[in-house]
Amino acid sequence: MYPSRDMILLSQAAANIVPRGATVTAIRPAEAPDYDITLYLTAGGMMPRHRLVPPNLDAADRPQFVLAVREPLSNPHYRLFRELPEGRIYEAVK
Amino acid sequence: MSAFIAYLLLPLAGIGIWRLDAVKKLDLGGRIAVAGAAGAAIVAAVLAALSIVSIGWSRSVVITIVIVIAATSIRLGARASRPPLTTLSLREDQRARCPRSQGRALSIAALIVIAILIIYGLLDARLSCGDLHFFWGPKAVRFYRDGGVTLGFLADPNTVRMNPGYPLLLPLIYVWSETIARQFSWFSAVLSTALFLFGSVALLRSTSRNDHAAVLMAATLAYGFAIADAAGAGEPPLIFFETLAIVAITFIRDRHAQIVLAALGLACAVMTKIEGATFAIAVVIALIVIRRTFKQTMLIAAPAALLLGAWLAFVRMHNLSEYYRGAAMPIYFAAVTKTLLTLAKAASYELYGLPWIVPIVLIAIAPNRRNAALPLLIALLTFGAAFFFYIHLPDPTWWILSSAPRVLLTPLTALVIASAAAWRSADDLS
Repeated sequence: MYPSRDMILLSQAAANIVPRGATVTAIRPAEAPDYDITLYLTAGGMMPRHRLVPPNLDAADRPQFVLAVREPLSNPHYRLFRELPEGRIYEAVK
Repeated sequence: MSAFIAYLLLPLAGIGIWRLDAVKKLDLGGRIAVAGAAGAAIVAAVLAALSIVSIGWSRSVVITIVIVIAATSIRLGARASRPPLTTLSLREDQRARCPRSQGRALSIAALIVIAILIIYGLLDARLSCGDLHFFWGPKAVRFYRDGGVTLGFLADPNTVRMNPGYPLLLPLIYVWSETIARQFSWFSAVLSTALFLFGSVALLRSTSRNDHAAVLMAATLAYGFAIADAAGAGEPPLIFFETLAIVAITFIRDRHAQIVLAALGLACAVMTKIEGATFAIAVVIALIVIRRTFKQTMLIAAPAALLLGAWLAFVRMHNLSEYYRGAAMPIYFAAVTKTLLTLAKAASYELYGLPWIVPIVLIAIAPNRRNAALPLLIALLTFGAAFFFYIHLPDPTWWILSSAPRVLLTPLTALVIASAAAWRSADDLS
């Protein structure tokens, strides 16, 4: 199964959990650092009330939330926010 | 459900085009398909015009304007309609509306079987195109959310991967569905593929009056869409509009209707996908080479050229990302052999090229091969254009394998139409 299938399900669920207007990106952690950009584009269609941005997790203006499918995300800038059957949601450490 | 019904309502929006005499002669399926194309153009134009004058989209405003346009065109059409048909012309019309090919019941049964198979494939989402989820759908969702096509969205660096310079017709058709349903339905978008597919089949069947050709078209496109995973992408509507343009210039005798319908098909094609522009150029070249009718060709191409010119001016003015200048990129002659081999592999459609072989054989043994010249040249030109663009990368393997099965649907469709044309006599036009 393509990871985009998982992302469709995760981002649909995340749309009701992540605060509206927040910046969000979507990744498959195992693909770091060359993340498949189609995942955040896919999430963009599922989360019209959020601001979907490219997966630049180490940039200064990093996204507030990360949707991760398949593997857990290991990044010091993020902590687990919610675990769902479809994947995990991470929140930026302030 | 209402999201899908929105697509079914498109022919009502464009029903005014039925006033053309040549359209009146088509069977019901053909007339609905032509009205659907006109309706798609009207709906997209209304949504775009509202954005241009900064009026936010609302269900009541959009539906009211579309209803007024449809009602006005029907009223004008009623006034301009011909006097009652004479017995002779009635007989001619009946003859035109009843395809004469034998085995009609068998053909219809085959069409139903193909329809069931493709709808099953669409509904279990296995034919869905990634592009629907990557940008066609998200763009529609965002446009609807913003209440219009906004420069803020198109120029946002975060959306550069959503091809902001792509023409807007398909996202706007999706917005129409969203406006009616008040939410975006991904499955309706996927299922609309069946409507565009059978709209294309209805256009060919109605204008060629050949049931066998319709079955070949349905089987070829359904199989091609399945192999190419084209559901929800730009290709189904693109093929639909391209079919309208090709059958208009191939099968319709009435000069006025030929110009109107071909112009409609070309204008919608160039506003659906970048490849629509290549197709329009191929049609212009083919018309000039085969028909040598310069003035008529210009009339057919003018709306497409104006619309595309306006859109490209907007894109350039706001420095949006676009790919229309691909032809100006360097050509890698070292990649020619690899490109040809990879393109041949993609063109085989995992069936030894059978979708190409069948229409080519049909043309070879047809009694009126010269009638196939126009769509055949369009097929050759669009196939050549695909090859030309692919050799602009040093290693286009991934690009070809991921896109060629969809891109080659255009020459394949033109080839199937050419095979239908080769089996019709010149004096047997609509």
